[in-house]
Amino acid sequence: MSYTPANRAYRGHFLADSKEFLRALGDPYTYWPGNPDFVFGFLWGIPIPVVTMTVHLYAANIAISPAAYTNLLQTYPLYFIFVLHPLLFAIIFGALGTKICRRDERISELLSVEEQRNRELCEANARLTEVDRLKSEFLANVTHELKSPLVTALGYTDRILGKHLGEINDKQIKGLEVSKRNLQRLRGLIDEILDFSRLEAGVARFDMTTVDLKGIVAIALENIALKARERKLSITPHLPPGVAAVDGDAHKLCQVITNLLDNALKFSPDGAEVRLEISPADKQWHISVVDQGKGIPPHVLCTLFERFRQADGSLSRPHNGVGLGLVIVKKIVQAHHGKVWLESAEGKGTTAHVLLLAAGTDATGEGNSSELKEVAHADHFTD
Amino acid sequence: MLTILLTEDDADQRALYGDVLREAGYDIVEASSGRDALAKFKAQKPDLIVLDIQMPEMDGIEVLTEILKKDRQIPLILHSAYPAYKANFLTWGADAFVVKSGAPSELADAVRRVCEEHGIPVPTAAKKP
Repeated sequence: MSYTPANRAYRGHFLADSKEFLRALGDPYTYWPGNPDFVFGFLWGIPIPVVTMTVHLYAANIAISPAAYTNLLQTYPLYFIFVLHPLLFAIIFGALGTKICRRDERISELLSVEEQRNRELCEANARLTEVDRLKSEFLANVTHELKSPLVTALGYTDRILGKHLGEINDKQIKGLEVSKRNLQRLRGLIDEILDFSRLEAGVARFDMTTVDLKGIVAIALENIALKARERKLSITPHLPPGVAAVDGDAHKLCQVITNLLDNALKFSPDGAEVRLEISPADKQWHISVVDQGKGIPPHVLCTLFERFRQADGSLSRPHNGVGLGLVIVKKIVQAHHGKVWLESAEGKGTTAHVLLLAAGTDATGEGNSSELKEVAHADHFTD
Repeated sequence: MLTILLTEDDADQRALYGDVLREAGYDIVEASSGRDALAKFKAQKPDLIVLDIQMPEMDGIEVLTEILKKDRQIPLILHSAYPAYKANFLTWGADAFVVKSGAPSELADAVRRVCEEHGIPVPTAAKKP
């Protein structure tokens, strides 16, 4: 930005920063005739003494005439009035102009640096988003490619175990069962990554219908039953009477409850009890899964909804999984305009809470019920 | 004999699902790609079609639309390792969607179900004991 009188703006009192004024006095721009403020000061420096002299004569009640001026001028030398005075003005004004000009330059410089930095940040951000999207896409493709051969292997194992390909002995059955169980575990992990990458890439579809949470819980319990039985864990559901209806994608909500139960099972000691409770809460359904595990320290609690996070990230950790269960839960619950959070005290177990809107409730602004009340209140008065 | 056109680009999977369906008493025509499936659909006039979704060149959905243009009534089953397609199979015009979950008998079950829905007599071997 170049300095012109037109864009000269008031930027504080001219004596506010004397250091800046002194610095401007040392700036050659101040004394350059191209500096409009210098010229301005010089031009006004000529008539001002004349005006001052007139006022002086008038105050002294002396008749204003060329002779009176001549008399006054004899007191001071001419160059003093018509050269030094305008020069003094020119320097003061010139310095003030320079000061403002330099400050404007500095500000515009800062602004352009800032602008440049913003632009760079925007570009970097766009690049990162794109990389992240590519990664999710890549992940979705890779996991799909991983799943096909796995499913074939699992299919043949299943066929052999089902004795479709001839008789096998007990030893072979045992071996194949181990093989099948591990293939199924691998399939579970791949499914988890596949779900996550679909949700992450934003291509997952939600088929919204009105579903009964109790039916979903029944399916989730069925999904998890085998695991619970293996570890001698009991799951006790506490369900409300009647229908617990929500608007949502049945398959995905089932996944939410299954994942939460799965986590609870994973972190419970053998033989413990996991409690699953559904209760009504102000136009919402409150689902809670309570385990009797060792609990999660508070500093880890908030990070668990981040991708690939596990409470114990060390290689020697006792539990399997890729750490996507809770991320998937969060993404699905958020897509349903719900809330999910964990509550835990070390040594006292963990409770996972999910709030889902009851069926027929409008999703917009519903998260805050007091807001709704306020709106209703306002309506009442405008009527 | 009920003829099923089994479209699957992966040879191992084709063998696996072919075996399962053959065991259930169906006559199987195997196709290894979308184009192959369309050619065999014209030549062999199958009674039911099983389509894999992810295939190179021409995917299962394209094949499905081509086939439905020629025969709107033919029962179609989509078969994929990818459970998320379940959300769309009805809008694409398929009769069923089976996830490749590692239990191949699920495909045979779906074939039997779809045949019953369409009133097509199922071979005795396929009927559940």
